[in-house]
Amino acid sequence: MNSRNRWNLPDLGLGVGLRTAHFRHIVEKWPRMDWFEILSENFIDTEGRPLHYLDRIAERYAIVMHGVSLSIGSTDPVDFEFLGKLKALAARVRAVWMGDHICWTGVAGLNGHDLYPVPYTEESLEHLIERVRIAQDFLERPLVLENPSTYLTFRTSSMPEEEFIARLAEEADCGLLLDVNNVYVTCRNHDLDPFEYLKAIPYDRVVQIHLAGHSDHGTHCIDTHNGRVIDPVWDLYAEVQRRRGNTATLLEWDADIPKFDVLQREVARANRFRDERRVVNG
Amino acid sequence: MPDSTPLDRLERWMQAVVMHPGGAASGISAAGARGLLPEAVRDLETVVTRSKQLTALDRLGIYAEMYSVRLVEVLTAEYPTTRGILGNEAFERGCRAFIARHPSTERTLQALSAGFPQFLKRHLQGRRNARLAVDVARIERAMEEVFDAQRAEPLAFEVLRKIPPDRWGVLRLKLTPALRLLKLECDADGYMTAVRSRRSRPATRARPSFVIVYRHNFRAWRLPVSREQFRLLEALGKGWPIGRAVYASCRTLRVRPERLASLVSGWFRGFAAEGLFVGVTDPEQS
Repeated sequence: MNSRNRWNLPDLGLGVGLRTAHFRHIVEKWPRMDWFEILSENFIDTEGRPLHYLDRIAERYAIVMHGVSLSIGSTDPVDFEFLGKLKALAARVRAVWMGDHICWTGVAGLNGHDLYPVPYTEESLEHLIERVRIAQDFLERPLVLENPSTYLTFRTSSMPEEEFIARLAEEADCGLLLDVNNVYVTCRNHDLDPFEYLKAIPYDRVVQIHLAGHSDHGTHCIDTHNGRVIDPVWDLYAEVQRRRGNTATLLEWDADIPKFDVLQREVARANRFRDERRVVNG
Repeated sequence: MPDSTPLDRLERWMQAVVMHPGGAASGISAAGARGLLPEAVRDLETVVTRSKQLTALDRLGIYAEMYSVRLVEVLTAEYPTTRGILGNEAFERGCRAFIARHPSTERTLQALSAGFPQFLKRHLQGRRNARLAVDVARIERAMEEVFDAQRAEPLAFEVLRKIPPDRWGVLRLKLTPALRLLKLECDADGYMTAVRSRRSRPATRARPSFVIVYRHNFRAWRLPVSREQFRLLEALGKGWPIGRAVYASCRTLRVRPERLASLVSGWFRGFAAEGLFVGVTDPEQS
């Protein structure tokens, strides 16, 4: 077990996604929570209320930026204007780290606002490595990239997803956000063993872990971020904890968003697996 | 695209399939995707694998469905009253047609529906309630825009009050970026207020109305104004000197001069209280 990551980025403890529904509660009650993750795009191209609340919240809590539109796997040119906006936001909220997903979201100038899978080929790997390096050079910090939930695989893929991710992290020298719910969803959708998947992850590069609920349609699962974390996902979290040690852990809950204290109780369940207990539900 | 890479062709193909308005099955055989990966038309499993439970088409269909559902959700959240006027089904049809015609080109979703009111105007032509739906959509879009607009420090009325009358012919007022001026074809604001307060909805005959939409204390507001107030803000927004803007907006008003001064002063006081003015510029000094 290696409790440190390559960059000595801190174990922030337990956090939840910062959502509009909880803005007022947070600035009125200042509830116990180790840190918040923001969806970067919600605070870009706006100077309205969300940014006003974020500024206040960032004064008291650690903030991590997590995006959905970097489109690091796209064959479109790197969007430096967008990277510039991310960099400015990171400076504004003193983001502890920032990241996105190992995916593409659009090509030919369009954006589907979804996380599309890349084929796991040598060509894509080379493409992503180059783009991650470019982005990191511009941002002057490592990117922390997440394994997405996927619903299809391409025939041309020549390696498993976990090997692709491990090689990308090593060769591009980036961090990883290991979403254990996504591991579960992806493995269910592709008839794979999630514990085998976890064996291939380079844990010294794992900076953050995501937990979430999903929708099980019987024939497949969708990463909907609704509801509680199911026991099989907690089992995967326990396995990651065993391999990685205490790591910044975040609960995502984006649909049917409950009251803040429900989130606090749900994320606090991660304490069962941590060596160091965090009080976030008092 | 002879120079494109296999990765580029695959991404363009998948995008063409999942964004196709007819769904994944139609998308695969449509010209855009067929030209990129013709083998997918003959045998989709040469491109996308099946799982134990789902075919390759089912799996692509998940992405296609999520694409339209997600973006319709965004429009639904931004245009609740427009949706109420059109009904759920007609509104969703309009959203899907809009998304097919104007797919997102931005990294964020703020600009996605910028052209939706204008699109609805063409899409609903000749339909009952079209005028009202378009006007309400314009207000709802304006509320989104001012919500996200740039911040600027408002100017206190006291600052305006201290401007000597002899400078009115020269000085200009700068309006907040979080303000939209809407000239509408019917009383859409009255309709929205009635819907909000669950009152009976007013008749919405064709009759020009004027509404300003602005952000104050980080909330978006809408306010019906008179034709003259609208003209005044419009003229100030064009950068006209204060005196010229006041004259142009009020010249048709039939009120005594002393009454006019008090009326206009009240307008400025009210607008300043809502934070609509953010600067005074003097072209002679710039």
